[in-house]
Amino acid sequence: MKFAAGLKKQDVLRTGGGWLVAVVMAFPVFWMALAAFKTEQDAAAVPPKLFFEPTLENFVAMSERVAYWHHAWNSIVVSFSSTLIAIALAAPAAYVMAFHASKLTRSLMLWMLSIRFMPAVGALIPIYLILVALDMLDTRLALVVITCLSNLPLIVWMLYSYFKEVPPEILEAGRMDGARPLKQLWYLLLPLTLPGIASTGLLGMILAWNEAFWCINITATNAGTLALAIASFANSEGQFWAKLSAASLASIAPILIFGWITQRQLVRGLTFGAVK
Amino acid sequence: MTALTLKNIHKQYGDVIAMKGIDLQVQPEEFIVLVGPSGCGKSTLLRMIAGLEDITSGEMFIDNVRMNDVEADARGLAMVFQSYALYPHMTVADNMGFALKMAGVPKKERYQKVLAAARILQLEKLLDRTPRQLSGGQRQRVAIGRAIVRRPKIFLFDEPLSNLDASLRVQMRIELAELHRKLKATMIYVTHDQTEAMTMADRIVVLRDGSIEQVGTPLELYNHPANTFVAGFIGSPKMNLVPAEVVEQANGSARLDLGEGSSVTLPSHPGLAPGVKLTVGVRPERFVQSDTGSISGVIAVVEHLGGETLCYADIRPGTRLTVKLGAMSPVKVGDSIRLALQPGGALLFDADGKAMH
Repeated sequence: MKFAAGLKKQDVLRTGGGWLVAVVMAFPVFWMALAAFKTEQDAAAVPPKLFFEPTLENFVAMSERVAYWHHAWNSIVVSFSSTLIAIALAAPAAYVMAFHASKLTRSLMLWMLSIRFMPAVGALIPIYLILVALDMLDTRLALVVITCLSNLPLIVWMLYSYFKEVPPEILEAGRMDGARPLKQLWYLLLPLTLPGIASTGLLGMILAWNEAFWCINITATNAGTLALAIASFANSEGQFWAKLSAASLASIAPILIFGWITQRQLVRGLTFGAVK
Repeated sequence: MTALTLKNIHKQYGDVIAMKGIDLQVQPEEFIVLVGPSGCGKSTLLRMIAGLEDITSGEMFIDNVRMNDVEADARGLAMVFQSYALYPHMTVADNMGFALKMAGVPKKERYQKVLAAARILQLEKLLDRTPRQLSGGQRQRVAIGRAIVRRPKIFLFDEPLSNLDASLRVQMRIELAELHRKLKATMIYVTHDQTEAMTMADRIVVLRDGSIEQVGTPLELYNHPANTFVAGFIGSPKMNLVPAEVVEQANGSARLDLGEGSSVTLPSHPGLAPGVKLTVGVRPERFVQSDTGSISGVIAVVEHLGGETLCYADIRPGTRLTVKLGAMSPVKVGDSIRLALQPGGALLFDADGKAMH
């Protein structure tokens, strides 16, 4: 019993620690959400105000200044399609790496990941020039392709680790039963790792949604996502905290809600494999 | 016509040679068991037959058609895996019908065939369950059912019973033997368990270090092992293998010294000149307890198994004989025991371990 009590004490400490970290991490978002409903005077007040009269004027100002729905739609198109394409490309690659590895597989995977070591700005000028040559500046297609490719290594890695958990005999049984690689992928591997693929997809979507660097540099009013919309509030005219907060909140809200809706399925999916 | 022919099959992984020239012919409707200690290459050989591993060199024929470069699913084989390898996300019916689905068989026909196979294995009531709702024995049946549905030319079994508990294993062993009779199918079965090999096989192939040591019926292997390895591997309890030296040869008989006053006298045999060192092999049941016996030892351990008694006797330090005695044998630890051999009870192996005939 003493042991159990000790364990409980440890659990309490852990839970407390977890909450502390969560609060620290969530506080800026919380503060931003508050500021979004303040007047500019309240937002800039010293000491900061916790209680104030909420207003929607920032959101009105925001929608007058930027085409929120247009950029939101761009964000949706870019994050969904870049992630779907990345998964479609990554799944066969991860299948081969997980089940038909050669001597080069390991180095190939490290090389793929190493692409992310390079700061994106290193590739900006060549890519910008390529896009100019192809007449693709400020197009959603360009943003989809670039986002997709930059997330691809990570998605391959994640799918690889999920595929690795599938016993190879199951695929061998499929092979004996007449399933060639693509059918093994479709009928066996994808259904078996669906929870993993879903969480990979969610992560890819969040990364794509929040991607700002390429969006700001290669798009403008036509193909810009919400990241571009927020950026336009932080400019030389001065610090408009309340409006900036409103724009930011409006930008992250959709993906936040999306994550919130899917998290139940994800958690259920991730624990599903553990109980054999 | 042979069901399967292997000609000088080799397998190499980098510098490691896993199979060293396997030659084997399997007849139609034969139940062949590949047996050997772990690492002997039996599973590798089965996987090469299945098409899951490449054949480095040599040739393989099924029904006289060369199969080396034929894809696994096109060889007309079905395999039952040690881990069952059922598709966890599919029902039993879908598991069993998957091969037919891949082959483009219409749904109705698929269902008929699955049902027919399920009847053979008494799985009809489980068709809608998923593998995780089944017991170990039921999963094993589904894995076999998945193979039956395909009506393969040859069934391949990779240690299919090793994940079951002892009593279920005996039951499934009998069921598999019955299934073999019922289906009249060619089966190749891999196991490390010599009891499974002895009870189920038409012919046993004993493998060691990637080579075939001996091929034969269970009784051929039991009574006439080709070498000390097969002699020691086949049979439970194990055959006694005792180092000996010929001390005398006269009047058509030879006397072999086993050390510390124990000896055996056997009919003479070419090659049994005095001074020759060899190994005497005696099955535990070929000893007779006899006051005039020429082998003497001290009993170290006694195991009463009910129907019989196993007695372990030391004839000299480091040489312990396993002796099978009757159920009522009044033997006690510490007693001296004198043993004689039944006529023909001893097998002789030369210094290289090869049987002397």
